[in-house]
Amino acid sequence: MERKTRRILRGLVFLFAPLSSCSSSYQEDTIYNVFDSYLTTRFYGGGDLQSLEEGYRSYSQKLNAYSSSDSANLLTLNSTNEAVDFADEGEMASLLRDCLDYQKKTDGAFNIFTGHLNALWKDALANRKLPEEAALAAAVKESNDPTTNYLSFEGSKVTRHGSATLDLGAIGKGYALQKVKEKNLASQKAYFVDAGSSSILLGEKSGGGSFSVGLKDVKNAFLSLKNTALGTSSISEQSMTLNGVTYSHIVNPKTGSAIPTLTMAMALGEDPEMLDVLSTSFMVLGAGEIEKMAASFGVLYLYYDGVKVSHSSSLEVLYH
Amino acid sequence: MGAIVLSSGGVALYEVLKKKESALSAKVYCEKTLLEEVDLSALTEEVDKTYEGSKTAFKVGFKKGAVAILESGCPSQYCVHQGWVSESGRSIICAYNSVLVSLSGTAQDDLRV
Repeated sequence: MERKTRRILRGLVFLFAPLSSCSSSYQEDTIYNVFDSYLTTRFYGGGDLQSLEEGYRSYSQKLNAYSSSDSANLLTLNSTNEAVDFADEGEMASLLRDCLDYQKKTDGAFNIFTGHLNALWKDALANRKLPEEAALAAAVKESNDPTTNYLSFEGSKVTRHGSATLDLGAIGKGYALQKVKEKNLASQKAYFVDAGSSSILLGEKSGGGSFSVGLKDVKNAFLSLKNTALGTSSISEQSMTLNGVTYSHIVNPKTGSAIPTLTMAMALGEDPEMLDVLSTSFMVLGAGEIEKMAASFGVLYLYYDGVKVSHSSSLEVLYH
Repeated sequence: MGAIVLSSGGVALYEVLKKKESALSAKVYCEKTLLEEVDLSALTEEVDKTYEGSKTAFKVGFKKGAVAILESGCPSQYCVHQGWVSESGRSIICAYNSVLVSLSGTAQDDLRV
Protein backbone atom coordinates (compact mmCIF):
# COMPACT_ATOMS: atom_id res chain seq x y z
CA MET A 1 0.00 0.00 0.00
CA GLU A 2 2.81 2.32 0.99
CA ARG A 3 4.78 1.44 -2.18
CA LYS A 4 1.70 2.11 -4.28
CA THR A 5 1.22 5.57 -2.72
CA ARG A 6 4.86 6.44 -3.38
CA ARG A 7 4.49 5.41 -7.03
CA ILE A 8 1.41 7.61 -7.45
CA LEU A 9 3.21 10.53 -5.83
CA ARG A 10 6.21 10.04 -8.15
CA GLY A 11 3.77 10.10 -11.09
CA LEU A 12 2.24 13.36 -9.91
CA VAL A 13 5.66 14.96 -9.42
CA PHE A 14 6.55 13.91 -12.96
CA LEU A 15 3.33 15.39 -14.33
CA PHE A 16 3.57 18.73 -12.52
CA ALA A 17 7.33 19.24 -12.69
CA PRO A 18 7.20 21.23 -15.95
CA LEU A 19 4.48 23.51 -14.54
CA SER A 20 6.30 24.28 -11.33
CA SER A 21 9.56 24.97 -13.13
CA CYS A 22 7.73 27.52 -15.30
CA SER A 23 6.20 29.24 -12.31
CA SER A 24 9.53 29.57 -10.50
CA SER A 25 10.72 32.08 -13.13
CA TYR A 26 7.39 33.84 -13.35
CA GLN A 27 6.40 36.91 -11.37
CA GLU A 28 2.73 37.70 -10.95
CA ASP A 29 1.37 40.79 -12.61
CA THR A 30 1.53 43.82 -10.37
CA ILE A 31 -1.10 46.50 -10.83
CA TYR A 32 -0.66 50.12 -9.78
CA ASN A 33 -3.24 52.84 -9.90
CA VAL A 34 -1.39 55.79 -11.39
CA PHE A 35 -2.07 58.45 -14.03
CA ASP A 36 -5.82 57.98 -13.54
CA SER A 37 -5.47 54.52 -15.02
CA TYR A 38 -3.68 51.30 -14.23
CA LEU A 39 -0.07 50.34 -14.76
CA THR A 40 0.42 46.60 -15.10
CA THR A 41 3.88 45.11 -15.04
CA ARG A 42 5.08 41.57 -15.45
CA PHE A 43 8.71 40.74 -14.84
CA TYR A 44 9.97 37.24 -15.56
CA GLY A 45 12.67 36.23 -13.12
CA GLY A 46 12.21 39.23 -10.83
CA GLY A 47 13.03 42.92 -11.09
CA ASP A 48 12.89 46.17 -9.17
CA LEU A 49 9.17 46.77 -9.35
CA GLN A 50 9.16 49.23 -6.47
CA SER A 51 11.56 51.67 -8.15
CA LEU A 52 9.60 51.44 -11.35
CA GLU A 53 6.35 52.14 -9.54
CA GLU A 54 7.81 55.09 -7.64
CA GLY A 55 9.30 56.58 -10.81
CA TYR A 56 6.10 56.19 -12.77
CA ARG A 57 3.95 57.52 -9.93
CA SER A 58 6.07 60.66 -9.57
CA TYR A 59 5.54 61.47 -13.26
CA SER A 60 1.83 60.79 -12.99
CA GLN A 61 1.62 63.39 -10.21
CA LYS A 62 3.76 65.91 -12.04
CA LEU A 63 1.79 65.73 -15.27
CA ASN A 64 -1.69 65.63 -13.74
CA ALA A 65 -3.80 68.60 -14.81
CA TYR A 66 -6.65 67.77 -12.46
CA SER A 67 -5.19 67.30 -9.00
CA SER A 68 -2.60 69.10 -6.93
CA SER A 69 0.73 67.68 -5.83
CA ASP A 70 3.22 68.36 -3.03
CA SER A 71 5.58 69.90 -5.58
CA ALA A 72 4.78 71.98 -8.69
CA ASN A 73 2.76 70.06 -11.26
CA LEU A 74 0.70 70.72 -14.37
CA LEU A 75 -2.26 71.94 -12.32
CA THR A 76 0.03 74.55 -10.71
CA LEU A 77 1.06 75.79 -14.15
CA ASN A 78 -2.57 75.88 -15.32
CA SER A 79 -3.57 77.93 -12.27
CA THR A 80 -1.34 80.96 -12.85
CA ASN A 81 0.30 83.15 -15.47
CA GLU A 82 3.28 83.60 -13.15
CA ALA A 83 6.50 81.65 -13.73
CA VAL A 84 6.40 78.20 -12.11
CA ASP A 85 9.68 76.70 -10.98
CA PHE A 86 9.54 72.92 -11.33
CA ALA A 87 12.97 72.61 -9.66
CA ASP A 88 13.72 69.54 -11.79
CA GLU A 89 16.82 70.64 -13.71
CA GLY A 90 14.69 71.67 -16.66
CA GLU A 91 12.98 68.30 -17.16
CA MET A 92 9.43 69.68 -17.36
CA ALA A 93 10.57 72.54 -19.59
CA SER A 94 12.23 70.02 -21.87
CA LEU A 95 9.05 67.92 -22.07
CA LEU A 96 6.96 71.00 -22.89
CA ARG A 97 9.44 72.03 -25.58
CA ASP A 98 9.12 68.51 -27.02
CA CYS A 99 5.35 68.99 -27.01
CA LEU A 100 5.61 72.22 -29.00
CA ASP A 101 7.90 70.44 -31.45
CA TYR A 102 5.41 67.57 -31.88
CA GLN A 103 2.65 70.15 -32.35
CA LYS A 104 4.52 71.56 -35.34
CA LYS A 105 5.48 68.19 -36.80
CA THR A 106 1.92 66.83 -36.61
CA ASP A 107 0.51 70.04 -38.06
CA GLY A 108 -1.57 70.62 -34.93
CA ALA A 109 -3.12 67.14 -34.69
CA PHE A 110 -1.28 66.95 -31.37
CA ASN A 111 -1.91 70.09 -29.34
CA ILE A 112 -1.34 70.67 -25.61
CA PHE A 113 -3.27 73.98 -25.40
CA THR A 114 -6.51 72.01 -25.27
CA GLY A 115 -7.31 71.95 -21.55
CA HIS A 116 -10.62 73.78 -21.94
CA LEU A 117 -11.58 71.99 -25.16
CA ASN A 118 -10.95 68.56 -23.66
CA ALA A 119 -12.78 69.53 -20.46
CA LEU A 120 -15.89 70.40 -22.50
CA TRP A 121 -15.91 66.92 -24.04
CA LYS A 122 -15.09 65.23 -20.73
CA ASP A 123 -18.21 66.84 -19.27
CA ALA A 124 -20.20 65.95 -22.36
CA LEU A 125 -19.28 62.26 -22.08
CA ALA A 126 -20.01 62.26 -18.37
CA ASN A 127 -23.39 63.95 -18.71
CA ARG A 128 -24.31 62.51 -22.11
CA LYS A 129 -25.02 66.01 -23.41
CA LEU A 130 -23.22 67.72 -26.29
CA PRO A 131 -21.25 70.91 -25.55
CA GLU A 132 -22.70 74.30 -26.55
CA GLU A 133 -21.55 75.28 -30.06
CA ALA A 134 -20.36 78.71 -28.91
CA ALA A 135 -18.29 77.25 -26.07
CA LEU A 136 -16.74 74.72 -28.45
CA ALA A 137 -15.88 77.41 -31.01
CA ALA A 138 -14.26 79.58 -28.33
CA ALA A 139 -12.23 76.64 -27.00
CA VAL A 140 -11.03 75.68 -30.50
CA LYS A 141 -10.01 79.27 -31.19
CA GLU A 142 -8.14 79.46 -27.89
CA SER A 143 -6.33 76.17 -28.58
CA ASN A 144 -5.06 77.44 -31.93
CA ASP A 145 -4.05 81.01 -31.10
CA PRO A 146 -0.25 80.93 -30.57
CA THR A 147 0.09 84.71 -30.45
CA THR A 148 -2.01 84.88 -27.26
CA ASN A 149 -1.47 81.42 -25.80
CA TYR A 150 2.14 80.29 -25.57
CA LEU A 151 4.85 79.21 -23.15
CA SER A 152 8.16 80.80 -22.22
CA PHE A 153 11.09 79.09 -20.52
CA GLU A 154 13.94 80.05 -18.23
CA GLY A 155 15.91 77.11 -16.85
CA SER A 156 13.53 74.97 -14.81
CA LYS A 157 10.91 77.79 -14.80
CA VAL A 158 7.96 77.76 -17.18
CA THR A 159 5.49 80.59 -17.75
CA ARG A 160 2.10 80.00 -19.35
CA HIS A 161 0.80 83.04 -21.24
CA GLY A 162 -2.85 83.56 -22.14
CA SER A 163 -6.02 81.82 -21.02
CA ALA A 164 -5.55 78.39 -22.59
CA THR A 165 -4.78 75.60 -20.14
CA LEU A 166 -2.50 72.69 -20.92
CA ASP A 167 -3.46 69.03 -21.23
CA LEU A 168 -0.68 66.44 -21.54
CA GLY A 169 -3.07 63.48 -21.72
CA ALA A 170 -1.84 62.51 -25.17
CA ILE A 171 1.82 62.33 -24.17
CA GLY A 172 2.04 61.86 -20.38
CA LYS A 173 1.92 58.07 -20.16
CA GLY A 174 4.34 57.66 -23.03
CA TYR A 175 6.74 60.19 -21.51
CA ALA A 176 6.62 58.47 -18.11
CA LEU A 177 7.22 55.09 -19.74
CA GLN A 178 10.18 56.52 -21.65
CA LYS A 179 11.66 57.73 -18.37
CA VAL A 180 11.18 54.48 -16.47
CA LYS A 181 12.55 52.60 -19.46
CA GLU A 182 15.76 54.63 -19.25
CA LYS A 183 16.04 54.46 -15.47
CA ASN A 184 14.56 51.13 -14.46
CA LEU A 185 14.57 48.78 -17.40
CA ALA A 186 18.03 49.24 -18.88
CA SER A 187 19.24 45.89 -17.54
CA GLN A 188 15.84 44.15 -17.69
CA LYS A 189 15.25 41.78 -20.58
CA ALA A 190 12.16 39.67 -19.86
CA TYR A 191 9.18 41.89 -19.01
CA PHE A 192 6.25 43.89 -20.18
CA VAL A 193 4.87 47.17 -18.83
CA ASP A 194 1.31 48.10 -19.79
CA ALA A 195 0.19 51.65 -18.93
CA GLY A 196 -3.55 51.21 -19.30
CA SER A 197 -3.30 49.77 -22.83
CA SER A 198 -2.44 53.13 -24.39
CA SER A 199 1.33 52.91 -23.84
CA ILE A 200 3.13 49.60 -23.67
CA LEU A 201 6.73 48.50 -23.39
CA LEU A 202 7.59 44.96 -24.39
CA GLY A 203 10.80 43.15 -23.61
CA GLU A 204 10.61 39.47 -24.35
CA LYS A 205 9.19 36.46 -22.58
CA SER A 206 11.25 34.23 -20.39
CA GLY A 207 13.26 32.15 -22.87
CA GLY A 208 13.19 34.85 -25.54
CA GLY A 209 9.65 34.32 -26.83
CA SER A 210 7.29 36.95 -28.23
CA PHE A 211 4.15 38.28 -26.57
CA SER A 212 0.74 37.73 -28.07
CA VAL A 213 -0.84 41.20 -28.13
CA GLY A 214 -4.57 40.91 -28.79
CA LEU A 215 -6.51 43.68 -30.52
CA LYS A 216 -9.69 44.25 -28.48
CA ASP A 217 -11.51 45.91 -31.35
CA VAL A 218 -10.78 43.26 -33.99
CA LYS A 219 -12.21 39.84 -33.25
CA ASN A 220 -9.55 37.15 -32.68
CA ALA A 221 -6.76 39.36 -34.07
CA PHE A 222 -3.35 39.60 -32.45
CA LEU A 223 0.23 40.63 -33.09
CA SER A 224 3.26 38.60 -32.07
CA LEU A 225 5.75 41.15 -30.71
CA LYS A 226 8.85 41.52 -28.57
CA ASN A 227 11.45 44.18 -27.78
CA THR A 228 9.29 47.05 -28.98
CA ALA A 229 7.05 49.83 -27.69
CA LEU A 230 3.45 50.56 -28.62
CA GLY A 231 1.22 53.59 -28.43
CA THR A 232 -2.48 52.90 -28.95
CA SER A 233 -5.64 54.99 -29.06
CA SER A 234 -9.10 53.52 -29.21
CA ILE A 235 -12.64 54.81 -28.92
CA SER A 236 -13.81 51.65 -27.18
CA GLU A 237 -12.87 52.74 -23.65
CA GLN A 238 -14.42 56.22 -23.48
CA SER A 239 -17.20 57.05 -25.92
CA MET A 240 -20.94 57.64 -26.12
CA THR A 241 -23.59 57.38 -28.80
CA LEU A 242 -26.22 60.10 -29.05
CA ASN A 243 -28.90 60.06 -31.75
CA GLY A 244 -26.94 57.43 -33.61
CA VAL A 245 -23.66 59.41 -33.61
CA THR A 246 -20.63 58.16 -31.67
CA TYR A 247 -18.49 60.68 -29.80
CA SER A 248 -15.15 59.77 -28.23
CA HIS A 249 -12.68 61.25 -25.77
CA ILE A 250 -10.25 61.89 -28.65
CA VAL A 251 -10.89 65.44 -29.83
CA ASN A 252 -9.62 67.05 -33.02
CA PRO A 253 -7.90 70.22 -31.73
CA LYS A 254 -8.35 71.98 -35.08
CA THR A 255 -12.10 71.44 -35.46
CA GLY A 256 -13.27 70.59 -31.94
CA SER A 257 -14.98 67.46 -33.27
CA ALA A 258 -15.06 64.33 -31.13
CA ILE A 259 -16.61 62.19 -33.87
CA PRO A 260 -14.04 59.48 -34.62
CA THR A 261 -13.17 58.35 -38.13
CA LEU A 262 -11.29 55.32 -36.82
CA THR A 263 -11.99 52.71 -34.16
CA MET A 264 -8.38 52.32 -33.09
CA ALA A 265 -4.87 53.31 -34.15
CA MET A 266 -1.48 52.06 -33.06
CA ALA A 267 2.10 53.25 -33.54
CA LEU A 268 5.03 50.88 -32.97
CA GLY A 269 8.69 51.73 -32.51
CA GLU A 270 11.24 52.47 -29.84
CA ASP A 271 10.25 55.77 -28.21
CA PRO A 272 7.10 55.45 -26.04
CA GLU A 273 6.73 59.24 -25.79
CA MET A 274 6.61 59.70 -29.57
CA LEU A 275 4.36 56.65 -30.03
CA ASP A 276 1.84 58.01 -27.52
CA VAL A 277 1.70 61.30 -29.44
CA LEU A 278 1.43 59.56 -32.80
CA SER A 279 -1.35 57.13 -31.89
CA THR A 280 -3.58 60.07 -30.88
CA SER A 281 -2.51 62.04 -33.95
CA PHE A 282 -3.40 59.08 -36.19
CA MET A 283 -6.91 59.03 -34.71
CA VAL A 284 -7.27 62.77 -35.30
CA LEU A 285 -5.83 62.80 -38.83
CA GLY A 286 -7.74 59.77 -40.10
CA ALA A 287 -6.78 56.99 -42.50
CA GLY A 288 -5.57 59.15 -45.39
CA GLU A 289 -2.64 60.70 -43.51
CA ILE A 290 -1.38 57.85 -41.33
CA GLU A 291 1.00 56.04 -43.66
CA LYS A 292 2.76 59.27 -44.62
CA MET A 293 3.07 60.47 -41.04
CA ALA A 294 4.33 57.09 -39.79
CA ALA A 295 7.02 57.13 -42.47
CA SER A 296 8.08 60.66 -41.59
CA PHE A 297 8.55 59.65 -37.93
CA GLY A 298 10.15 56.27 -38.79
CA VAL A 299 7.54 54.16 -36.96
CA LEU A 300 5.18 51.34 -37.90
CA TYR A 301 1.41 51.81 -37.87
CA LEU A 302 -1.80 49.84 -37.59
CA TYR A 303 -5.35 51.12 -37.64
CA TYR A 304 -8.89 49.74 -37.78
CA ASP A 305 -11.78 51.70 -39.26
CA GLY A 306 -14.49 49.34 -38.07
CA VAL A 307 -14.34 47.22 -41.21
CA LYS A 308 -10.74 46.71 -42.23
CA VAL A 309 -7.36 46.55 -40.50
CA SER A 310 -4.59 48.45 -42.34
CA HIS A 311 -0.95 48.32 -41.32
CA SER A 312 2.70 48.70 -42.27
CA SER A 313 3.80 45.98 -44.67
CA SER A 314 6.37 44.68 -42.18
CA LEU A 315 3.68 43.97 -39.56
CA GLU A 316 1.74 40.73 -39.61
CA VAL A 317 -1.75 40.51 -38.12
CA LEU A 318 -2.53 36.97 -36.96
CA TYR A 319 -5.87 35.42 -35.99
CA HIS A 320 -6.68 32.85 -33.33
CA MET B 1 0.61 -0.16 -16.39
CA GLY B 2 2.82 2.91 -15.74
CA ALA B 3 1.99 4.22 -19.20
CA ILE B 4 -1.72 3.86 -18.49
CA VAL B 5 -1.37 5.78 -15.18
CA LEU B 6 0.58 8.58 -16.89
CA SER B 7 -1.79 8.64 -19.81
CA SER B 8 -4.89 8.88 -17.62
CA GLY B 9 -3.10 11.48 -15.45
CA GLY B 10 -2.36 13.48 -18.57
CA VAL B 11 -5.99 13.34 -19.66
CA ALA B 12 -7.09 14.46 -16.17
CA LEU B 13 -4.60 17.33 -16.24
CA TYR B 14 -5.78 18.33 -19.72
CA GLU B 15 -9.38 18.39 -18.48
CA VAL B 16 -8.40 20.59 -15.52
CA LEU B 17 -6.52 23.03 -17.75
CA LYS B 18 -9.28 23.01 -20.34
CA LYS B 19 -11.86 23.78 -17.67
CA LYS B 20 -9.68 26.56 -16.29
CA GLU B 21 -9.19 27.98 -19.76
CA SER B 22 -12.91 28.20 -20.45
CA ALA B 23 -13.60 29.93 -17.12
CA LEU B 24 -14.27 33.67 -16.89
CA SER B 25 -13.69 35.51 -13.66
CA ALA B 26 -14.03 39.12 -12.49
CA LYS B 27 -11.53 40.64 -10.09
CA VAL B 28 -12.41 43.76 -8.10
CA TYR B 29 -9.45 45.85 -6.93
CA CYS B 30 -9.25 49.01 -4.86
CA GLU B 31 -5.75 50.52 -5.02
CA LYS B 32 -3.53 47.45 -4.99
CA THR B 33 -5.88 45.30 -2.95
CA LEU B 34 -7.90 42.52 -4.49
CA LEU B 35 -11.30 42.88 -2.82
CA GLU B 36 -12.93 39.89 -4.45
CA GLU B 37 -12.70 37.47 -7.32
CA VAL B 38 -15.97 36.07 -8.68
CA ASP B 39 -16.22 33.12 -11.06
CA LEU B 40 -18.70 34.46 -13.61
CA SER B 41 -18.93 31.13 -15.40
CA ALA B 42 -20.48 29.56 -12.32
CA LEU B 43 -23.23 32.15 -11.76
CA THR B 44 -26.80 31.25 -12.55
CA GLU B 45 -28.36 34.59 -11.60
CA GLU B 46 -27.19 38.19 -11.17
CA VAL B 47 -25.46 39.01 -7.90
CA ASP B 48 -24.90 42.63 -6.81
CA LYS B 49 -22.29 43.50 -4.20
CA THR B 50 -21.33 46.81 -2.59
CA TYR B 51 -17.72 47.66 -1.73
CA GLU B 52 -15.91 50.64 -0.24
CA GLY B 53 -13.77 52.55 -2.75
CA SER B 54 -11.07 55.03 -1.79
CA LYS B 55 -13.66 57.85 -1.64
CA THR B 56 -17.18 56.43 -1.91
CA ALA B 57 -18.99 53.13 -1.94
CA PHE B 58 -19.66 51.45 -5.29
CA LYS B 59 -21.89 48.59 -6.37
CA VAL B 60 -20.77 45.88 -8.79
CA GLY B 61 -23.14 43.58 -10.64
CA PHE B 62 -22.00 40.07 -11.54
CA LYS B 63 -23.89 37.77 -13.87
CA LYS B 64 -23.00 34.80 -16.01
CA GLY B 65 -20.27 35.98 -18.36
CA ALA B 66 -20.44 39.71 -17.56
CA VAL B 67 -19.73 42.35 -14.95
CA ALA B 68 -20.68 46.02 -14.49
CA ILE B 69 -20.29 48.86 -12.03
CA LEU B 70 -23.93 49.63 -11.31
CA GLU B 71 -23.53 52.51 -8.87
CA SER B 72 -20.67 54.75 -7.80
CA GLY B 73 -20.37 58.02 -5.94
CA CYS B 74 -17.85 59.36 -8.47
CA PRO B 75 -18.75 62.67 -10.16
CA SER B 76 -18.09 61.59 -13.76
CA GLN B 77 -20.00 58.26 -13.71
CA TYR B 78 -17.80 57.03 -16.60
CA CYS B 79 -17.55 53.64 -14.91
CA VAL B 80 -21.33 53.27 -14.62
CA HIS B 81 -21.93 54.41 -18.21
CA GLN B 82 -19.55 51.74 -19.47
CA GLY B 83 -22.25 49.18 -18.69
CA TRP B 84 -21.78 45.42 -18.79
CA VAL B 85 -18.48 44.09 -20.09
CA SER B 86 -18.13 40.48 -21.08
CA GLU B 87 -14.86 40.01 -22.94
CA SER B 88 -11.77 38.63 -21.30
CA GLY B 89 -9.11 41.29 -20.99
CA ARG B 90 -11.61 44.16 -20.72
CA SER B 91 -11.76 46.23 -17.56
CA ILE B 92 -13.80 48.98 -15.93
CA ILE B 93 -11.89 51.71 -14.14
CA CYS B 94 -13.21 54.21 -11.64
CA ALA B 95 -10.18 56.48 -11.20
CA TYR B 96 -12.01 58.62 -8.63
CA ASN B 97 -12.43 55.61 -6.35
CA SER B 98 -9.14 53.91 -7.37
CA VAL B 99 -11.17 50.91 -8.49
CA LEU B 100 -10.41 48.40 -11.20
CA VAL B 101 -12.78 45.64 -12.22
CA SER B 102 -11.07 43.30 -14.64
CA LEU B 103 -12.25 40.29 -16.58
CA SER B 104 -9.88 37.40 -17.11
CA GLY B 105 -10.03 33.88 -18.39
CA THR B 106 -10.08 32.28 -21.82
CA ALA B 107 -6.86 34.20 -22.22
CA GLN B 108 -5.36 33.51 -25.59
CA ASP B 109 -3.23 36.66 -25.46
CA ASP B 110 -0.62 37.89 -23.00
CA LEU B 111 -2.12 41.38 -23.14
CA ARG B 112 -4.77 43.23 -25.11
CA VAL B 113 -4.87 46.74 -26.50
